[in-house]
Amino acid sequence: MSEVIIGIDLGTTQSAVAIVDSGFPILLADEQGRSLTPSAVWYGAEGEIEVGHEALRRSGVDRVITSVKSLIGRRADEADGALLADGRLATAAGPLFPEEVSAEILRKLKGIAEDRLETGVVKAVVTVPAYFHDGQRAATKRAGELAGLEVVRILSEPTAAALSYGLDRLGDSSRVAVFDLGGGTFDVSILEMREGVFEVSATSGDTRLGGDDFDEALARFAARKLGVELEAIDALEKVAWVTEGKRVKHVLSDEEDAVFRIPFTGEVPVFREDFLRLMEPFLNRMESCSRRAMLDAGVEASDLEAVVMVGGSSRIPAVKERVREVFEKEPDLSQHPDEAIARGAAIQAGILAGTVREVLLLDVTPLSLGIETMGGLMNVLITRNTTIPCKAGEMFTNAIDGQTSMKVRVLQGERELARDNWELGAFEVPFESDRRGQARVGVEFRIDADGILSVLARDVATGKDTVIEVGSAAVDVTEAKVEKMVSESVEFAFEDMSARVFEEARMKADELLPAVGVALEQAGALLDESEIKEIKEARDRVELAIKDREVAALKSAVEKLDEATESLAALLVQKATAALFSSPQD
Amino acid sequence: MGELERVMREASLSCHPDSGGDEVEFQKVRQAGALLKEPSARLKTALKIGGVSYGERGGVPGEVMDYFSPVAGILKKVDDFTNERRRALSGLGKAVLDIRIPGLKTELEGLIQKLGTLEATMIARFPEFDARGWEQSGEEMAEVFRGLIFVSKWLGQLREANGKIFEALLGG
Repeated sequence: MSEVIIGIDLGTTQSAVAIVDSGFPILLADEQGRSLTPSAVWYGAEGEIEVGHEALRRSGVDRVITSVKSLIGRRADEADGALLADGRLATAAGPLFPEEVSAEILRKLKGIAEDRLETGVVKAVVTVPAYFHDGQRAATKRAGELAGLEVVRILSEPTAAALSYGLDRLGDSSRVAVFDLGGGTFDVSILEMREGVFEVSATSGDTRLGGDDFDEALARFAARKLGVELEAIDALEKVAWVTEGKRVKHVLSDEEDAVFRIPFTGEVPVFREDFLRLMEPFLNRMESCSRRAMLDAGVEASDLEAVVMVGGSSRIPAVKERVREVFEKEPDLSQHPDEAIARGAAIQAGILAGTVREVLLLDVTPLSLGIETMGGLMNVLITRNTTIPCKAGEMFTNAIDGQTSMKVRVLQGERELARDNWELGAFEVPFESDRRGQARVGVEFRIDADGILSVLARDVATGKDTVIEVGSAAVDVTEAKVEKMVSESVEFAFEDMSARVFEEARMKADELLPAVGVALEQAGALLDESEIKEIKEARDRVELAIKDREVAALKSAVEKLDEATESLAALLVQKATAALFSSPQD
Repeated sequence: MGELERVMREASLSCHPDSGGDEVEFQKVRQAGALLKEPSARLKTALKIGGVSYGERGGVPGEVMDYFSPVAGILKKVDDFTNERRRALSGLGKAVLDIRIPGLKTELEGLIQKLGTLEATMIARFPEFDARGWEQSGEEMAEVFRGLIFVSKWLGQLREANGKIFEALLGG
């Protein structure tokens, strides 16, 4: 028997482990027969650790870490306060990096596999969202190592789902889209499958969009109705609200209405239409990513044979409806939404172990890779959706006489300005000292099959190669630097708060006041009289507050005007959207 | 293109590291495939193989140059739109900017269509070069080559701009 490689779906809310057995991918269940493990970890004060169902049982009583995937490979400044300044997470066992928490989940899954297979397991394929950047992929790999696993491949989730979908359609030639909406991340990929070769043409997504957002939106909706400030209540209590949001969301997948209940606080009836309205901005982002992927792949909805939906959140009727609209076909629901990715990971594991033949995967890098050039611009070296493994190079020279090195910043992302992209790291490229423009150093960027970058610098004069470490995440931020950053921000925070509040409200007012005029002219006829009256009154109040320089009054008046013009704005956006998606001949 | 795709698939299958191939070999195959797919790269390779010397900065077909200002103009308009929209502080402020969308879209699509036609006309000249022989067609090939470079760059930028508009609109 060849060596065992397991396939792991390390999800935001739940995880699973699978293997290929006599050509078929199967999920491995724990002793209780459960094949899905909640991605939850509990740390006790005495050093105890519980993972999965056991950890989840403590929620509501004690702090349980969930959705750690949304933090992995991220810097503190991107985590909305969920991480300490050094990128670690506060736990009962002291500060830990998110990958250390993820490692506990992986260790649990490894244990389940070893119990089922009655053999030791050391190798694994682990899935990540297609849209994970280098730092997040590398951190996921580290999590595997911490759990005692050699991660032989980092695989994109929608690609894994496509493998699972395509395994029994190997004879077919077709082009499909995979729409993967999980608990915390969203991906959409376009693939071509031909005679066992699965080639990804384009991928797009959002690593911060998933079922968790809908739970929270429902919790906010109910809180607003009950007059509760969700931000003001303590963390454990908030968990109860969000958990109730999740329950209501599940009910609304089958029923037309549900009741949001918080004991001793109140009840709120929630209808499907309410939920649909809350979902609208999220649905729009999904649509945007889907259209971006089709555009990048050079296909139209009619060119696609199927749109395969996976991920727990693909059960929501509103999501299915939007997918049907955007891809112009009935979504393919043949894959088990919670299991397809683990099955796909197992198939890739089989390919690498040599047990699955006749199948090959050609994946792409989801984000463009480049370096910062003059003027703070991003110079792209490897464009997004390039098939991996791949490489690209750039020549550097010295700008002044006798210079012996230069600093290169490596960036990942699609924005034009360097600072808007994710910085993977910066390094010094050494030269042999020479006259200006004489030194030559070639820098090679290589993306391996895991989508992880390595950099090599070669001094052309000496032929000497240097492998450059591209540091990721915020691990190298020193304590002193962090302290300075924190103290500075505190200082600024207390500096004349009211002046800042006034200025902010004033800026918003300056934008809204003329906009009201233009918008009423364009779409005012579609509103009824009471709505127009409300808008005009709100506008008058804003103007008055500006004249009186009343900070609190201006802030609330601007907020009122913002609310009052919501449906007017929606009308204009609707008009623009209709124009955008009408065909050219209309 | 069916033939090219079939050959590429077989080559990819045999030299991908996952099926026991060599990574460097795989990258070479991918690069070759990309080269064959891109008309300007094909022409450049033909010029190289034909041993034709030509100036990198020489003439560009006049009908290509005519598009220089229209392309730059619309790209600027789209940039202004997305920047202003990103900076907008209120829902209504964004919505008012969206009034520009239909106009931008019409302009973009019109240009994309015209450039597509122009690209096709230039590609249609390839057989003519082949028949006459690459050595004899050198200067003309170089001119078409430079024209194709511009057109494909512009098409890429216009499509990107098109994408940016709906991202701005749907991204909220």
